Amino acid sequence: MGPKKGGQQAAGKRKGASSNAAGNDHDAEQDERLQAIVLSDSYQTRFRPLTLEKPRCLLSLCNTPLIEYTFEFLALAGVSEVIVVSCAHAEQIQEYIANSRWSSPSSPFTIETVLSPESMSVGDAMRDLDAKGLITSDFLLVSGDIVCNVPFDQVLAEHRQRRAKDKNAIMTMVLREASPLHRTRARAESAIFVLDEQTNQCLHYEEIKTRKHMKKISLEPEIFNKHTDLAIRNDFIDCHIDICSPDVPALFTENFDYNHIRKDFVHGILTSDLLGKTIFAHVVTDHYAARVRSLQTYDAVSKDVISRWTYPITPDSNLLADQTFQYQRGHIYKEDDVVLARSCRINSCTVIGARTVVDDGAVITGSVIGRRCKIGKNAKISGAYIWDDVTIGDNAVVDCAVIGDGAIIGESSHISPGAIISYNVKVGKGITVDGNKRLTRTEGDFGRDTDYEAVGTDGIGFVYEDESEVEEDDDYEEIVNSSGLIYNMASLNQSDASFTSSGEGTTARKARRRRISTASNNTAASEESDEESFMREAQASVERAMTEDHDIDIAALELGTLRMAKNAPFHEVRAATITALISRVSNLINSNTMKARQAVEHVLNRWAKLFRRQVFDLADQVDLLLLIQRDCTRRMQGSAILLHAINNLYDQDILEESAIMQWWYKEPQSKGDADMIKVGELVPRWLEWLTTAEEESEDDDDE
Amino acid sequence: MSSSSAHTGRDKEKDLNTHIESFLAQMKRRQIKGPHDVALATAQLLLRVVSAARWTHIDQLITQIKVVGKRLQSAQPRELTCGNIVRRVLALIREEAEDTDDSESGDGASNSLLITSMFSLLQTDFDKESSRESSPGEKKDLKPYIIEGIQELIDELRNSSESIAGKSVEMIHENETILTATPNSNTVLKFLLRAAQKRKFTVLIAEVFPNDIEMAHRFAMKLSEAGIEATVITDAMVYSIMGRVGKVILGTCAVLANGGLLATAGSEMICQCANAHRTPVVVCTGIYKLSPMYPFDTESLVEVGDTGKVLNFEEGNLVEKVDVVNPLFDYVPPELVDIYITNLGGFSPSFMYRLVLDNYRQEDVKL
Amino acid sequence: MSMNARDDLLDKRVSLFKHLDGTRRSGTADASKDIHPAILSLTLQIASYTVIGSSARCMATLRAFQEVIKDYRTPAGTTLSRNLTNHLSKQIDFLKTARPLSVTMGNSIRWLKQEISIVSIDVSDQHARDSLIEKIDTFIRDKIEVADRVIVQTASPQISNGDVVLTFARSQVIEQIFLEAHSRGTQFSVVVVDSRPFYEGKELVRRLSNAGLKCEYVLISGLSYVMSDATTVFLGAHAVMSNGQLYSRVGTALVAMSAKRKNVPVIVCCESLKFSKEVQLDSVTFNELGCPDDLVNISSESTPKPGPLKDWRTKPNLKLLNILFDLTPPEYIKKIVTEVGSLPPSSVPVILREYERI
Repeated sequence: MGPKKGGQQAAGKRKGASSNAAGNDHDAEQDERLQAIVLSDSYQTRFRPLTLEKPRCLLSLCNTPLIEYTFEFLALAGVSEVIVVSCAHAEQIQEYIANSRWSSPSSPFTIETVLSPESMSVGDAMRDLDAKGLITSDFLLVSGDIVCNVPFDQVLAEHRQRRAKDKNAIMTMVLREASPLHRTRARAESAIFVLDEQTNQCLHYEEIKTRKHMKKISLEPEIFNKHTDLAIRNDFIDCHIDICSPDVPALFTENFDYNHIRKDFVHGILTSDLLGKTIFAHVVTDHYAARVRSLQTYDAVSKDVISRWTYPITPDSNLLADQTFQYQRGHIYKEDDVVLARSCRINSCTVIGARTVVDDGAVITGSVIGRRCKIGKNAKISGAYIWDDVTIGDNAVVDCAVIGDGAIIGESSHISPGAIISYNVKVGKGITVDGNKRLTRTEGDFGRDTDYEAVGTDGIGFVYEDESEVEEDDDYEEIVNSSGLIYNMASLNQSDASFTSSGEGTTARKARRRRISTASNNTAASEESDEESFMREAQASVERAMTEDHDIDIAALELGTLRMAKNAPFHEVRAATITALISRVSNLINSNTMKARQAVEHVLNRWAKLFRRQVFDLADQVDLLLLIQRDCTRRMQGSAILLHAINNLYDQDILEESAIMQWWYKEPQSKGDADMIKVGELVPRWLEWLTTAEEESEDDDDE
Repeated sequence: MSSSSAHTGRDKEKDLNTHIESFLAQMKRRQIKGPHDVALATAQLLLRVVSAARWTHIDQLITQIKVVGKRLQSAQPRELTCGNIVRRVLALIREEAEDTDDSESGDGASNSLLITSMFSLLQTDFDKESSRESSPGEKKDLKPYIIEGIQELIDELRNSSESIAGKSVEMIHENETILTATPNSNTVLKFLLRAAQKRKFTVLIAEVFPNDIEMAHRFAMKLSEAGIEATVITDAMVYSIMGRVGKVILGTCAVLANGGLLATAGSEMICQCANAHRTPVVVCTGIYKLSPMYPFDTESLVEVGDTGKVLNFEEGNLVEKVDVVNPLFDYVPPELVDIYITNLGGFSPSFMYRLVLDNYRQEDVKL
Repeated sequence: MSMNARDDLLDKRVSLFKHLDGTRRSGTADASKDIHPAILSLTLQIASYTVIGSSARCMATLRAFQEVIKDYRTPAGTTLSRNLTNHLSKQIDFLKTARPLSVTMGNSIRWLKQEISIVSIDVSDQHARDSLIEKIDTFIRDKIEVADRVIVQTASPQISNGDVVLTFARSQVIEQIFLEAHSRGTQFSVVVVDSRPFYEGKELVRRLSNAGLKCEYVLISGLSYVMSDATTVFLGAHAVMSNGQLYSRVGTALVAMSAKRKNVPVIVCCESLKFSKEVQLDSVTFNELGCPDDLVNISSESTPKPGPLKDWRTKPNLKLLNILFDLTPPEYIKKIVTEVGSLPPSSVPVILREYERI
């Protein structure tokens, strides 16, 4: 019965489409047909340099192009008409779709690609769609990078029910429950949803801006009047699967500044009381839903697919006609014609594509290997994503890295965790590629020659530097996190684990903040050169501000921009500011213009306010103290400067007493070496004063 | 077919291909699943293939069906019934062809009976083809006969669980305690419901968590509604209670030529347990589930399902560190089965190979 | 009559197990004033399975008894050795309303009563109490803590490199054995087989994987699939009967049988405190009933998601059975590792006799 139905459905739906387009003004509720809009573009640059040549949705995930998973989900959801909106690499996407089974008559839905070359954001794409008048009824809005096996009938039925009751229920967001520290959640991708417990109406949406160390969200008091049970949750994987009414694109057109579907649109709709539109959430507690938004989620989703969380969408379903994967015990998937040497070892959670040859002694663990690859003798590959036609030399080690099509890794080379080797790059013999390196051969906008230092004398390729800067500041944290990708993620996970298991009973949000600070530290450690250049520039910026007597806000703004541009953690910002300020103090003293105390007060009274945007919690304060102490070791009269600086900052409430206590008594670094101790020689006296002052004031209170 | 290559023919072929493609996609998506539905869908699809096909010689049709069959089977190699139906149709075509051959050449009637197994094993297709090419050949249009045969096959699929249920009274005595470990089987459900019309007995239902758990619970509800005393137990309890059980009744996904079978995960340990307690194991199966395959690599026959059913995906920490497996089937070796109840009657496991020979042609075993 | 018939249909007790009492205490409102608060709270903890596992229950009970003894004052006109036993019996009776006593609890209570009975009437109350409390401390140390350590020392070297060890549900001593073997640097992996409705194995697998052990997690329906890989099966025990039968979490027998039939050795690890003088032949005559409503949940986690059976109590003919233990015959068990050595199941009565004499 099945095949017959499929065919008829498709035909029937095409007819339905035309008739409905004509009678657009009428209710479309009784119409069971479902449109889907697939946004093939991510409007991001996180996958560069891999996405310089190929759009993200065509990147291979477990040897199947990412967009296939989206289409497969749409087919399962019973969608009848798919519109793919593409801008970057649109021709490639069009060509791919034209040649895929989705364009064949057996496809469960009709498919159409729409070019929207100017769009820079989801908002642009929606406005474009609205202008083109392609949307006729409620539709499913997804991006081209989701992996999902949630059965959709119930979600849809509930949405339609709500729509029938209330025209203003314009949108249903599908959210998957998962702990905040779940691997498949994009790090730093986080939002707070305030839902009505009974109806699941979304009442408030707030993106968590980690870098602002948001401690509170504000809710309209009205919400509490109207709704008795509220759930404030941040335990969702939000993969941006939304059912929208045709009002949604129209609203985008009305509000031309809406770009982001969540941050602008959802937040905007919910906070504006004029529109009276409502948005609902559908919380999914079983099945799988995730979105490949960053390399870290690429890694996590690949692992989920391999360990069959996404069943039946697994490699051995052989989604593409020419695939021949077979499942073996321990989540090992092999295609036909894989040649394995007798002494090689294939460990669990591995995918190997057709005609790949694995030589003697090679060990492959938890990795995805494409077609026609050659893995040399005694090569060690673990947690790596190796695409098609890659050659890995003898004795090479590839650890948690992404290696693009046609790349060659020379003998005995070492690819460290987190590295990306893009298409056709050749890494020479015995080269070690660091974890933060991204190698490419695509010039893009900037012509470059082979960087022999990076790839060896017999290699081809150069280091890709992210020229894109930070266009969207809202994604700032994500960029920080995903730039370090797999490797950093792994270490982050550890810190998560230790954090949760230490059972300090902190809230999830607090955990998140800590984690971000670890992230920053990681990047700091791994990107020495960037750090130096940032330090230099930031220092110069502060010095300039002081000599030219800028407004404090302008100086702070300048520092902030610089920090974002360089992805610098706050630690470095503080370090740069301290160095600039103290060298100014030191200059004043050395030129005999002022005494130590005067000089410190002169500088800090005006400029210490900068720290208000750099120092957020106790740990930051301790860090600041250490930086001052360290800097003072290099100065004449360092101990005096230190003493007065602490006193001044304490008076200005930038430092709290507990931070000073922690720094002095608990922080081993404060007694790190002779210099550190020496420069702190005056501190105990000050501390004594502080405690007695405290006691006195307490005594006063008592009396 | 290419010789006639009329426009309508090409369109038909295209249309057919669409059907095949969407069948494949639905199999992969598990929109068609379970032996019965797969068998039915396959038979209906083959009916289309045959009615659309044109051939000058019967071997062309056979090759066509084989090509299609191979594609169908590759969509979900572990749904063995799909391949079974393809082979059944092939056998049917061959039979029709031989019948006409026989009636025309006259001498073959007794001959073909004699040479069933051993001879056809050795005889290659090529031999046959050449031998038949010379025969006056293909005057009679076989199509309606083949289509009729497939229709009969479809009827058999639809009625098989009914005819199996007809034998239930012979299997269950008054006040007996029955244990079933395949509460997802419609065949077993009908079998028990039919028995309940004549007998009063108790059924223990091992829920075979986690797959099809809702189905298992609904199974218990249906039994209780029919007046059978139904008790749901967890899988772990089977051993402790086996000593009080009169018979174990199982449904199956596929029966193999050696008399072994594939059934819901957990069945093997339950059969072991029955065996240890000398409790007889009765397997209810339609003959369409009987596959001519031998289980050389039992592991490859086992489908591994959705991990999320064993461990909730929310448990982030465990998801990352622990390998979780959720096998959907178990292979049960023939020595653990006492009897098969089929729509053709009851058989012992050691006799199943014979039924294979009756229903399939040796030359079709490999598609 | 028809009324009776209806009641019969809605009788949710499974006929085979009608001799077992499945009622569970849910509150302490009816407790007499004699019951010590420590016992009250322990009773609730045991009833809600917060304290689960026979060693854990035994230990918690002894600790609670220490509290009871500490607060005990001999009434005028009687002696401690006579009255305390009485007092304790009341506590024990109350404790029994949570769950039947475990064999370990029974054994230690018997020991404690013996100790109380031999308290001389000449010693002061205070002194007697102190000495009893101290004796309980020693008992816990010797019979459980040190015993566990000895078992871990004996059993962990039996895991060797490349082994795939399989275990069922969760036993504390088994967990320690695995962790010890892991910390010795042995390279092996663990398959944890788990079952509804407690999912105790989940906690085990969490602890082992956090320690860095390679683990595989499977539900008991997938047992055959993983058993073929296993090299050894390690099982914990609730009790070992004097006829060598292993009384343990329901499902253990299936695992042991499966292992035996695939020629995988089964090693049981338990303290000799778990040896029972009783004999038992099947899992039906003596067992413990769990709450049948636990089976209504259809999700793979303990937070319930009720399925089609949520109204089962109103449906005639429909029953749910949830028993907690089963009996594994001795022929499936290769050996039992205890603190007094490793022995075959047939030697259990020998050990019992030897230790009775001491």
